[in-house]
Amino acid sequence: MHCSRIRSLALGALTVLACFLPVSVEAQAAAAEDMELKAAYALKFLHYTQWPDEGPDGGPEEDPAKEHPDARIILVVGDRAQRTAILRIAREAERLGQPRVRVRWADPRSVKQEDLIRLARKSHAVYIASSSLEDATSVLTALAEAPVLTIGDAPGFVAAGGMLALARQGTRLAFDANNVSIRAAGLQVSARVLSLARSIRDKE
Amino acid sequence: MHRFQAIRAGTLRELSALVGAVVLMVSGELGAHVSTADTRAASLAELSLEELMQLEITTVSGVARARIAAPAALTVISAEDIRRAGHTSLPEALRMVPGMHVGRVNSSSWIVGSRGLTASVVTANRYLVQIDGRTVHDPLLSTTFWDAIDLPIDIIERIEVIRGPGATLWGANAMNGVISVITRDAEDTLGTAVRAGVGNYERGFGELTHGAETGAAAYRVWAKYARRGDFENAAGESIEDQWSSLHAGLRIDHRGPAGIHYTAIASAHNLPTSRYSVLEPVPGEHLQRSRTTAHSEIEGGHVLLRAVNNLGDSAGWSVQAYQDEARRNNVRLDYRRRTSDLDFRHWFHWGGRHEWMWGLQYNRNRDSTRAGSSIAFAPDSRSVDTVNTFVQNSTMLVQDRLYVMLGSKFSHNDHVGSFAQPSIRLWWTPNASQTLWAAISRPRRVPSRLEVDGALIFAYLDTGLATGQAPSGVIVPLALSGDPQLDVERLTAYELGYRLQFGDRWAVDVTAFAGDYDDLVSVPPETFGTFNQLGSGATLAGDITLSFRASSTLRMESSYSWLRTEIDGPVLPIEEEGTPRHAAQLRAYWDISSRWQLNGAIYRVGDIPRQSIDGYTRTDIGLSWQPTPRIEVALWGQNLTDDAHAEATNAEVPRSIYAQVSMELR
Repeated sequence: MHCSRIRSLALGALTVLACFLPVSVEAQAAAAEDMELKAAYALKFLHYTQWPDEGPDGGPEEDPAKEHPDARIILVVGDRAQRTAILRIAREAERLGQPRVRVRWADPRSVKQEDLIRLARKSHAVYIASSSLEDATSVLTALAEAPVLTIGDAPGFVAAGGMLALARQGTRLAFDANNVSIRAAGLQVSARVLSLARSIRDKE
Repeated sequence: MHRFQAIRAGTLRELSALVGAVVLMVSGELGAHVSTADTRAASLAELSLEELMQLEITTVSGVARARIAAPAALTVISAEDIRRAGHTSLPEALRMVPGMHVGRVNSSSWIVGSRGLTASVVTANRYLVQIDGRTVHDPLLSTTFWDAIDLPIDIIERIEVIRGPGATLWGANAMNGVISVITRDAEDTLGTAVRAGVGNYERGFGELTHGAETGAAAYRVWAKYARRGDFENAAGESIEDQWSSLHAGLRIDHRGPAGIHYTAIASAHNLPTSRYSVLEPVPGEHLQRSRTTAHSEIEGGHVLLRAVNNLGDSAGWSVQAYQDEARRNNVRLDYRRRTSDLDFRHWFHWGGRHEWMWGLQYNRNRDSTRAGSSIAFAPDSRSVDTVNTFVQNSTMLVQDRLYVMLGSKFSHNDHVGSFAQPSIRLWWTPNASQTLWAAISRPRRVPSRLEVDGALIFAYLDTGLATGQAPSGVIVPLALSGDPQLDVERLTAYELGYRLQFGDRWAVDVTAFAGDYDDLVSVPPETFGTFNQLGSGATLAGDITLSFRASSTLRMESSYSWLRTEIDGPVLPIEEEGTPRHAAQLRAYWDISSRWQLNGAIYRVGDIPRQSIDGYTRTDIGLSWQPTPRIEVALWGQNLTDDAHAEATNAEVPRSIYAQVSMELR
């Protein structure tokens, strides 16, 4: 009886296989994992942003460049797996000759708000990897007008004052930009990036 | 568009590497980090923003695409799975693998294996177990001493299990499967974490991990102490097998210049308590056995160094060396072992459709034994060298659709000479959500030292009394002895699998396995005498796994497995009825709120007629609460629906209740 069960399972698999044959001619688009794709976007944003008075003494308020003169610093707030994804791509990018990026991580549930903000102000960019807008809002409020690029993937991120928000569009990833926040922070995000945004918020 | 091709080529690289790394044991970490994630990372790093925007997101319902496409009977247990299933040790966590037979021999040892031939500790010897690319199964018995690898859950990244042959490229013990434990990169365990618990069987345990970053390097130190209670037999008497273990370790990860990732890992273990109570033969006394209750001395440690250079999509190499030492001493045997292992491999992309991988490994295993009352070796000390080399090619036959992998390992071992282990694997991925795969492999197993030149003594006989005459005074051991003439065991394995993800919520995984064994090292029909190679036979196995994500707060996993074993030959017929034919499980993880989680599992295991073990149902339920984000309190009940049940011997696995607190400090 059990043999026949296995046989029928195998036959079932083969039947399913036959059903799928006709669709296999369709070309399949290249693909990437969600978190990795977000990581790749975040690094591109970092690459195409200029900080006020950028140079050896420029950048964020507490000048992270003192610690790592050649590197840009991105702080990932929330999911540690997102930090790992950014870290991996940053390392590969560095090997390809792109500028060095330091990736830090803070868990908003276990780091005090003031420490989190202090870390954020010492970074060039903050990636808020949380689906909860609540987590994002407090960070965004505290960072208002500070020269820190804010990137996030929570719905409503741009409306809450975030600068670049990643969002799924069908099976692909798109992003919205908030030029008001970007300008207020004194940052310059390349026109190349802005031209690719799904929407741009330009007025309060 | 060539960069898109790089991503697609990455698919082949990824999948063949997943097989190459997981099935064929490139090395635990290499398999995961370099072959899949880093390869994709390299490809993504090259793309422009415009190109990124054209990429499709393929992660649906949290199941990684590489896993859907893996052309092997692969199960991945994440650290989260272990935590949410309430398991406190590695072998217990393996219960979550469909079709995996996990039978507790006593409080500190387990029989673990799938696809059959797991009827006893001595014969369940066809599974390769590795931690971070270091083999931890012991060549003395070809078994794994699970009490010597009690890792803290917080340092485990995942456990990858292949049910089916993994021997083609690596590991002559990987005939029926491979268990690979991968620990986290030191960069991923920064800060301090503490976990402590207490219960009726888990008498007390504590785990501490601490990690920090210094420049381009990160390190982690960890320690774990656990004290476990004793089991009872069916009559309710203690079998005096309580134990405690102390493990500590260190890991350093350094990203050096030129993209080379250096890793150093070390660990040490000691069992302050390891009680046992056994009936041992009395030397010189006709058929006399006496009960010995004593303590085993168990200790060991290892150092591993590794350098990996992953050159993006196209090529890479790795070098790894380790030394591992272990000692086990009790009334049965005093045993010391030193294993030295050196491993090099290189992979590269060729012609757009081909991935090549080749490698060399040298392994020296040196042991020294002192005969005890029931186990002896002649010679008592031995050094065995093994040299392996492998080559593997993966080819994309139809763009993004059809792949084939051909490979073979060629080995030379001091016991058995030279042999090859070829395999062919074909897989078809009509789209990102399904894969059909098939494989034929011819793995080999090198007999264990016990099977070659050991002796398992059951009793001592007076030759006169044994023939019904007056005592002769000539005493001979009644034993099961090794045979130095034994050659490799042979298996031809046929596998078929299908994996499908439908919609956002469901995934199904079906595998079938047929094994045709020859020259099986077997026990003679009378149990004593010498090991022979007269066994041959077949196993037929299948399993189906269904994963269901009901909502973002409720996830379920279920599986059913079936196994049939038929062994021919004038051998002890223990295998046919020595492993459960049926096994099923259902696990559910429910996030009640952001602070409360309810997790549960039911495991059903069929009868084991040979050991007169009735089928049993094990029910585990755990409730956890996070009063603050840094603290978690959990209460677990294991085996709740059963006072106690036997799983592999007459030792009864008790109901266990424990409470645990874990804390993250910064």
